[in-house]
Amino acid sequence: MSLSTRKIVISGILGAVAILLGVTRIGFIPVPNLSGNATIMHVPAILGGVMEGPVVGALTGTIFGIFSFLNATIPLFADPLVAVLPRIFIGVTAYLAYAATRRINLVLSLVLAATVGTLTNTFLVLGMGILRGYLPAEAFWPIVLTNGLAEVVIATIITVALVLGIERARKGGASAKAS
Amino acid sequence: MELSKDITLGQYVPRDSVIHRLDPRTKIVLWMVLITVLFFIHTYTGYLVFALFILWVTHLAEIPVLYALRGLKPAIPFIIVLFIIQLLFSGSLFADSPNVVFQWGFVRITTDAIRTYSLIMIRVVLLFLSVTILTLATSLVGLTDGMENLLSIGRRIGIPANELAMVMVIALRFVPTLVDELEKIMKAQMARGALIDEGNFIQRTKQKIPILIPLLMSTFRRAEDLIVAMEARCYRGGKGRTKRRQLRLTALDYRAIGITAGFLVFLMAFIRLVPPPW
Repeated sequence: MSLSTRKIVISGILGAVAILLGVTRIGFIPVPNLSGNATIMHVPAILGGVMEGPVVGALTGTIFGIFSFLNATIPLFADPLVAVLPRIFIGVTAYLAYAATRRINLVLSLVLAATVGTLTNTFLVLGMGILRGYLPAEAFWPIVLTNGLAEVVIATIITVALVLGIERARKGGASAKAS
Repeated sequence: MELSKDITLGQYVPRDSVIHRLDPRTKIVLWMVLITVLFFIHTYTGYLVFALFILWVTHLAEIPVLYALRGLKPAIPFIIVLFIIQLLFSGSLFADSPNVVFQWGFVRITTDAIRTYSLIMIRVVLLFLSVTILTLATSLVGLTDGMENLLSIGRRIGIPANELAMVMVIALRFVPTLVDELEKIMKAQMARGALIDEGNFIQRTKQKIPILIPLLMSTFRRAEDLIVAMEARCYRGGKGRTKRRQLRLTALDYRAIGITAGFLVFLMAFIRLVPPPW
């Protein structure tokens, strides 16, 4: 496997955005449920997967994972198998969903990518948490239904707006930059 | 709206202790061995011995134990609630356990359940403490260097160690820059009358968009600049690249490895000698 300079830089910088969303708390949206917060920290990984392919998606997710591991405030994330491993797949599954439906409709494919990417995060993190014994198996569906679904809605809104906005700005931005 | 003031990346506490002076590779490898071992301990006394060792390391690193454990404080209610939920809903898992402490409807609490879940709680706390000690006593640069060096063992099977480390370094390097950028954007949007953090969660989500789009636009612009700059300077990964800071194992590292190995042998023997349930 070799990485182009482009992939290295975009993964790194999207990783920085994920970290930024975490440290500034911009990436947390208060929702009325047990955990109190839904996060959009995984959205850069989805963006990386959608805009630059699965490798960038995986690397961005890895950085997000390493960061949430290093800054773990709850014991669940002090275990690299829960904090890092599941995050690698966010960008990959988001890319697959996007690539499979891209030809049908752009907005649909972005909605699917955001949904699949977010659920990958929710399912795998909770699944690992249960496998490793930090959470009881009974907690799985309640958390998915409260936190997971709120995160899907939020991630979808953000991902669609961001990708469309960036695409539009890139097209219009070329002439603006030249002037 | 001052974001940049309270940013802590990683939790490194600079000191000149023996633990800080260890080669990051030694620390990463020994730490991985220790947390793996942690998952094979299933007795209270075993955890006690492990805890004493970790506390000794904390002491050597000149980090106050309470400071290292401070991150656990917000998690305490969570851990306790989790413990109670697990006790209440796990009756079926311990259906054939004879020592019932309390039974009411489907709630069936047995001594075995209490033991299992207290051990998990202790393990979680010890795991947390071990992770914290590593990140408190190793700088992010050290960790990245160490990881790159360790990964390069896998270069023969195609793991691009230097490139992966470069991704990490770029991410860390850009966080402060992006924090400044974000602050500017938020101020600019607020000056235009944008609302931030008001209303229900859908509204709050929508309020993030006018902040995140400019942020990502400028992020991508910076990325393009950096790509051009790196390619203009013929960046081609780790091939033939030299380093100013060379990692070298010293006598200190060998001593740490020896002591940890000794501790592991002692721990194994101890677990054998003091069988469960204690």
